[in-house]
Amino acid sequence: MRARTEDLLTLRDGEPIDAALRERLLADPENRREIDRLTRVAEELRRLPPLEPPPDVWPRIVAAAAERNARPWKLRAAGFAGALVAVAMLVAAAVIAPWQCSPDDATVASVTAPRDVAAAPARDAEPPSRVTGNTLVTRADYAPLVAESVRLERLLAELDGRPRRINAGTAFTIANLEDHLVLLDDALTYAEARDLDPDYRRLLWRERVDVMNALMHVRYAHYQEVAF
Amino acid sequence: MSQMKQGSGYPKAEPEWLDGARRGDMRAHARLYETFAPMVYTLARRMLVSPTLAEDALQETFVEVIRSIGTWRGDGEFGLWLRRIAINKCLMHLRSSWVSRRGEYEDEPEALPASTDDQLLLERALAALPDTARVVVLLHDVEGYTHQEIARLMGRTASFSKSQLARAHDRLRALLADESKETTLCEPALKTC
Repeated sequence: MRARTEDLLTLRDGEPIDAALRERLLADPENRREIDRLTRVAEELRRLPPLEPPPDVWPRIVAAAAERNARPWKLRAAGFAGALVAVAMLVAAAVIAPWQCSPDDATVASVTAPRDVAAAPARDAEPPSRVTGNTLVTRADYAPLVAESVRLERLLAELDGRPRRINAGTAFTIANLEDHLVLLDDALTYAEARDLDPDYRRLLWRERVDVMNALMHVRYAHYQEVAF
Repeated sequence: MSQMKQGSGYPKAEPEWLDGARRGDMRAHARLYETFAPMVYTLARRMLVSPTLAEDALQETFVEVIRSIGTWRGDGEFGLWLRRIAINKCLMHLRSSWVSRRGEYEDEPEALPASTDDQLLLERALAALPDTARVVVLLHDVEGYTHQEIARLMGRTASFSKSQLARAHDRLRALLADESKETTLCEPALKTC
């Protein structure tokens, strides 16, 4: 009679087992060999070599921890309050731009809105650098956030193509998150055009990734409800 | 603990790092990260397979440490406490259907560094297991969790954990047999591939 692996594992691990069953199982040399083999597999699993993490994770941990400490409200409100920041930026842009932006300033018009960046194929998503006067403004600080944003856009685009029914509550949540994204994109466009502090731009990109994550959770959960 | 005592073989945290970390000293946190990141990343990579998800779990684990070390009572090993956080983060990733689906969009993970052919085969077989079976075999056979502890972590029964462990070992046996057959066939001396 072929022994069940579960019983052999029980014997291997010295867990309680019916005495008669134990005796019968151990009487068979094949079972004893299999218990030895199972023991060796566990030992080999424990001996697998450790793996080195990628080198650039710690700075991101520090940044993420600082952002969470600075903005605990974000965790509670799924980013809705962030819209206020974006609105403020929009108002500021509307008020300040006419005085500070010369008519031939092509920079504002040429800056690509984040949703456009995200809509581009992922392979083209290498965050660009931009020369402003004599200063090279690099996006290296927040390039991973831009790349993550692009990836989330791609995933969302795939879900967007699926037919679905949707209830009012989910639709309202999705609409709010998408509105939030539009406001953030406007704020980002303005921040890029005005060369605002890279730290501030990084915060906006972080915010965008958080909102897109929230949107993806809602969208995917809904997709699964419909699919199954 | 069924297989090995939990907490054995972990790196050690110097008391002054722990005191500093509790006071919010980021240099102390950095020392803890340097010491424990390989342990956490290894655990996450083996549980989640995807390098991206493992990196996410590593990041989330240490953000949690920075936020919560004040609540750690210090009456056990730091490595054990940290490992529990890491395991919970990995399980959260596996429960989150869309997050785990992200792995489908990744390129093929690079080969894990194994020091022997047998280890390479085992790594590949482990990665090929279904998520639940892989997590159970790692938690039980490597981390030393009991079936009752695994059941609590996963919100299932001890019987479920036992059957998943058996399924994992059955599958590992089949995968390892297939893998070694392929390896044998591909021996250069045989000129079959």
